[in-house]
Amino acid sequence: MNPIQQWAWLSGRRAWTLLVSVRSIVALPLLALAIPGAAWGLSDPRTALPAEIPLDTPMHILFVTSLFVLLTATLTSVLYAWDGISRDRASGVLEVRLGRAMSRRRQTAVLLGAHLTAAVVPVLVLSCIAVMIVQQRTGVWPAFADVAVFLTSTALVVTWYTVIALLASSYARDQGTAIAMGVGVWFLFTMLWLLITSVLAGLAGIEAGTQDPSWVQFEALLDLASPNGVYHHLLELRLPDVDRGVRAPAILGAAVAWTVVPTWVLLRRMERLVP
Amino acid sequence: MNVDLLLRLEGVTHRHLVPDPDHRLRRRAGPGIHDVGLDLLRGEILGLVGRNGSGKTTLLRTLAGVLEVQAGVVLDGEGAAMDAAQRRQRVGHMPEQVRWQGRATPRSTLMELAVMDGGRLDLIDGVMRLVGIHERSNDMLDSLSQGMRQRLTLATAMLASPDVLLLDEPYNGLDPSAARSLTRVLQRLAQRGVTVVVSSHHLGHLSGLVDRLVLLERGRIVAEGSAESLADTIGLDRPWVTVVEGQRPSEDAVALGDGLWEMTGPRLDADLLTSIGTAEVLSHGRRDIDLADLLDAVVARGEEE
Repeated sequence: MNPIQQWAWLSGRRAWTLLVSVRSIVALPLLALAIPGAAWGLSDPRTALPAEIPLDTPMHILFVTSLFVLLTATLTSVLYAWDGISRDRASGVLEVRLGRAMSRRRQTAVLLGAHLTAAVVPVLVLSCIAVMIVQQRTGVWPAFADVAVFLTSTALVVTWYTVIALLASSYARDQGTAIAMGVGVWFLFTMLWLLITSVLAGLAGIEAGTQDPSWVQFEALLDLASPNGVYHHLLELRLPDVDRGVRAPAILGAAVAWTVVPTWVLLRRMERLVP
Repeated sequence: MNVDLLLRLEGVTHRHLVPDPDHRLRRRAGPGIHDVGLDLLRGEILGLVGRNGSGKTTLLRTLAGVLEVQAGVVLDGEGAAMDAAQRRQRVGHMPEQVRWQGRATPRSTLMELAVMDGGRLDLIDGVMRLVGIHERSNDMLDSLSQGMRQRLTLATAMLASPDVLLLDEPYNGLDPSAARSLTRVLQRLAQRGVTVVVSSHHLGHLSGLVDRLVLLERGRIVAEGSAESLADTIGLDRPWVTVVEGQRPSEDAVALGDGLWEMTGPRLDADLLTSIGTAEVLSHGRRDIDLADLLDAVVARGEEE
């Protein structure tokens, strides 16, 4: 086997183990309900959202569907990855693996490949189904660029959470700490981020939660420091009626940073990991 | 150059990082192994003994390329320095007490590890037969007993046909029959030229198996050689034990039953023979070396120094 075949074989095998595990029985129905389910409900012409959130175009529907993606797809990636390293470490299997001829860098690539495959593939399949549902219900295909941005951004946000959860798992020495760190990270960015933004805005003398441009821009800037925020920024690139004052290069730069920096830290961490 | 030399450790040090009590967020170098020098010869079985925390596992992990060499060097038989990746190519490592779990099987687990080693899938059946797990090869890991899990861990170490096999407490969890078959397997491997390093708390498992013992204390090698030479080096008090049959030879003799008596004292000489009287001497030799006595003697000597 050449290194690519070796990586594909090992990643695929471990991904399959995750996909047929008990945790998939929890995760996959949640994803199925949230992503195609949201697309189905939101593409109903009678649906009206509060705060006059528009559902005029397929991309608007996909944008609002992304809220449900954030709630469930990110949770799924944490569900798969929270014990990706800590479990093997606690059982002693990590020491067996780290003692193999395969380098730690390539073992990390296998770990990432397995967890990303397990988390991203179902989310992308269900996201494609959501796009088809939107087309069926509205009679309009979303633009190719809209679909591409929606799918790419969704894959990216799942990737970010997977890498962060694996990183947290590498620091945890027991399963309790591992799950606390995994869920804690998810809770921070999914539930608490708005609170943090509001507190920081208050400290900066900006009134939170208004239509004031200074608050909108402050929130948009702080969103670059959150994977969920960057995800929404990426989607907003395809919504011409939304402008929160952050330019596309900054958004793309943040997306690259959220992809590269945690992955690099994980690689460095794995190089030095003591079983 | 010694043609039988396989690996040489020169001044090898690895110290674990531990929390610094003076600085909450910092860590400092803690216990580990210090300045270890050791030659591993082809086909020898080496016993690594020491108390808990003496550095046995750290030494094995460092040799296995799992922990980095922070100071010193590991050389191959040609005298070339080996990095961790090169050590992992040549060394098979069996960690202590791996709790294999999940719905995978021993066969699939070994397949995965074989692919990580470069894909020698043809070795799997032979290794499973060698360690005696072939009849359970398709059972779920969750259903394996501790002894079977131990055998699986041993199989993972042997999978890549290593030149050096490092076994950390391999006898833990094995029943006497499995322990005996493990001893036979290790002897067979040594005959084929594989160097075996076995760490154990129990000298009983190592006696008759190892060619050489290495005694670790506080991360340093304090003595090496045969059990007898270690005891002599350390100055372990080993009285002579005489077993006689017949009349009770002295007040100090301990009854063994069936008219047998055991006397502990000096080596047999004319005076002792006279004191025994009419009883017949059945055996006479120095008391077996007990690892606990050996370790206590090392600790006592360290404290004196």
